[in-house]
Amino acid sequence: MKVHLMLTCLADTFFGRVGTATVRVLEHAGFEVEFPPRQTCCGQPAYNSGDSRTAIDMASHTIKVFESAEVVVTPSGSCAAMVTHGYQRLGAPMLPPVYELTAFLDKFASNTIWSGFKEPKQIALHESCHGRAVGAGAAHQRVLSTVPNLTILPLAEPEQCCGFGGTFSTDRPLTSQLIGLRKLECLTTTGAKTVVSGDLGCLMHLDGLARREGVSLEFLHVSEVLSSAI
Amino acid sequence: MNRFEAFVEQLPQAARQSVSGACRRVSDARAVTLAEVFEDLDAARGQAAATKDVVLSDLESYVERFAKKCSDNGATVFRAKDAAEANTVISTLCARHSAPGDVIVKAKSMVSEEIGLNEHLASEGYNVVETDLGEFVIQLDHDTPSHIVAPIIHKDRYDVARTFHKNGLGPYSDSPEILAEQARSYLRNKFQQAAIGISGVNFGIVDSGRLVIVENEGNNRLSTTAPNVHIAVMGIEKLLPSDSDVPLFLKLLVGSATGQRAPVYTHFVSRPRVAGEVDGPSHVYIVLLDNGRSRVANGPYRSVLRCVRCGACMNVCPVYRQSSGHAYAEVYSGPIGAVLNPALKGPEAAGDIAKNSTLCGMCEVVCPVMIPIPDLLVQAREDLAKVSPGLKATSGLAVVGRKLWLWNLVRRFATFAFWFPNPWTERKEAPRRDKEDFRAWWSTHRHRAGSRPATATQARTERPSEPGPARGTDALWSMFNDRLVQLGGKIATWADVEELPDRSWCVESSLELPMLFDAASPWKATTGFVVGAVAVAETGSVLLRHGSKSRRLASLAPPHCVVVIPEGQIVETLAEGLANLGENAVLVTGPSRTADIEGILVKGVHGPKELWIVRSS
Repeated sequence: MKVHLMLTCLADTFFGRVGTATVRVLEHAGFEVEFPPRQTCCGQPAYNSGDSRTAIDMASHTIKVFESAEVVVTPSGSCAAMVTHGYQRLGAPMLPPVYELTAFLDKFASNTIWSGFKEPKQIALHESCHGRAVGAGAAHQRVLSTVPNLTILPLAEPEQCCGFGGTFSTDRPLTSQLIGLRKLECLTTTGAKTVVSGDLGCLMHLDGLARREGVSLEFLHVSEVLSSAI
Repeated sequence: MNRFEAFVEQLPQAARQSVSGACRRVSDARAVTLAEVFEDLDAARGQAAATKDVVLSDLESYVERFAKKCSDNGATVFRAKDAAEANTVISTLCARHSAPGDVIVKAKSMVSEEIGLNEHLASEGYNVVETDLGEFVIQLDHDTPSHIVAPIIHKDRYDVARTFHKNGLGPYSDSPEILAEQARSYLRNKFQQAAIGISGVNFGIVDSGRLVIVENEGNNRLSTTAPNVHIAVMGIEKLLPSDSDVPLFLKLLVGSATGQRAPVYTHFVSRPRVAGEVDGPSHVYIVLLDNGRSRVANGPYRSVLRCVRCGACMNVCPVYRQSSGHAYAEVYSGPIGAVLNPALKGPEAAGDIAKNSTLCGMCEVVCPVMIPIPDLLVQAREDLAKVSPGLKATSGLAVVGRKLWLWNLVRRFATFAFWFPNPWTERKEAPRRDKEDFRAWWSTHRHRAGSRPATATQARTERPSEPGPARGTDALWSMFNDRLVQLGGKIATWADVEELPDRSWCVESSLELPMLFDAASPWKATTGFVVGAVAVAETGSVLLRHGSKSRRLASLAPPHCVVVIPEGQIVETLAEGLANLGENAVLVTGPSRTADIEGILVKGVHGPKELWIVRSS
């Protein structure tokens, strides 16, 4: 099966390694990957702030970029939710099916063999909120549970948001920070040194807070964990 | 800094901890109870949502049918198009049945907060006393509720202790039990003095013209039983089509609100007292408030009117947990308030309240009537953007995002944006850009695809639902007993009753006790005896029907209540228990209780502290 990669604007702009890891993981699982170069941003920042005009412009652009795709895979629960549910609500539905990375692997490549880690690796998993809406949180759990020598430690208040919320983090920066600090507290309490999530927005926010607070935690995207377990 | 953030900044850490701690505890209790109560919770939520939508899609005709049925039952119904009309109707009724300066007891009602009823009645000279423990504290403090279910969630026991002490309710104590006791003794006189009781309504049943009111403390029952006049105020969206909808909504409402299987008291009000009855109000007035609801029912926000005011969306909301309800500066706060205010008032008047959300979506996940709150928040933000002049912060995206050369340029220089002072770097470190650029890597990447064929997923097995075996009477009583004990009540025998040390009793006239007793007024008696109609095993509840021989206060005013249930009168489900409600009735589920102070459960507030059930052969 050939899949079209929707990279996401954050991976495109800041976190190239996540794009690379995603391609490696998909290819390891047996898929041919295509990357349409004209893709940019799905329009979620505009959508979430009520700027539906800009959101519709970006939806039309994105729909055109992926119009020839059979299936679209993205390393983000948030973008997957936007192009499925958000576009639907804007009256601009995306035709090819769109999957968050692990939800896709869980559905079409659940018997993929991962070499795993040489040393036992313990992680805390932060399930992103928008990922929950597209089944990504449960899929992270299922896919990561097939990786040898990897343990997901129990996390308190797993359903709670990290506080990023896109434009919320600039509209309500203090509240955003307070929510994030609570999340860091829960993550630190697990005892894990590595925090894994399927959304770069959460990771960027939590990593920025942790570095400012002097909390030493490593933040990895789920694709990076899988890529290093190939 | 905007108003919301300014509030959050000055909020004391202790208040933030009270709020988030209580929210966590109630959210956890909700999850446990609903998983136990419903085999398929989503199906139940879907059914509740669909039931509400039936009413909301034809609201006016349901309101008319309900009003007619209530009038036929003997209640007097008023319709108020806005807050001013509702307040005028209520103060006119107060003038008819009492005089300025008189005590009016009031049970907790969010709609009365919405219309500013207390302020209005105070301005007319009435002495309105809030009787719910939390609302009573709010009134003494001249504060406002910060949560629709737990009004003093932002206060701790020491705050309450200082308030009670300052107001002369008793010697200083920070024990929630003693504080509840102080409120009980202070307010008992008020119930007896008041000529009028005012309450809200949880559900209005269209087919039967019945009001359903739920509570835990007993103050609502006292407010609507002891005075001669009951004025009920309700939003017109509170309607349900028929009595058979009640069990589902009851379970969803209280499971979501407090994690209980049933509220301690569910009372069913269908008519005023009739000749021959011992107590209960002779006049029942129902005020149906529109205040923008008809308009909302015909627009994009219709589903917000499904709301049953359980507060689950607040408890689970990460923003609410850090900010408390007062940050929203509205009567209805939290996620539901962030939608309800723009829906009812319009985008200009409601301001940017809808921005107080990360759109995490947990509110929708926990909503018992599946209100798509995140979508409605986006809708409210869109409506606000339409009336806000000027360019949007995100407008540039449509330019940059559709020209690849421009996009690449912005990508390259994106980190520069963090060099200047901005809300991000004020509180956290800027993101570090990877050395590896994906597009550069991709252009040299050689495909190794096709190495392994994709496979289908394994079929996942669902947890099978087990149909329960039909249960015999003994099994049902045993189930009932387990629930009742959990709630703090007990199944007693006549021998237990005979050993009661203090025989100042108040007994329903239909009950012939096999032992001597001293008749006392309900307010003086230490124990009240009543006959129950039926026991419900799944919730540990007993249904008391109010007829000509019943004495409602006997089950309510004395600190100890004994309910006698005929041996065979037990059913398994709430639906069976409520199938034959009769006219006025109350479903009692355990002793009176409150968790208003720090979410700590205190047994016995306004209603009985002890509840015994006697099986009578």
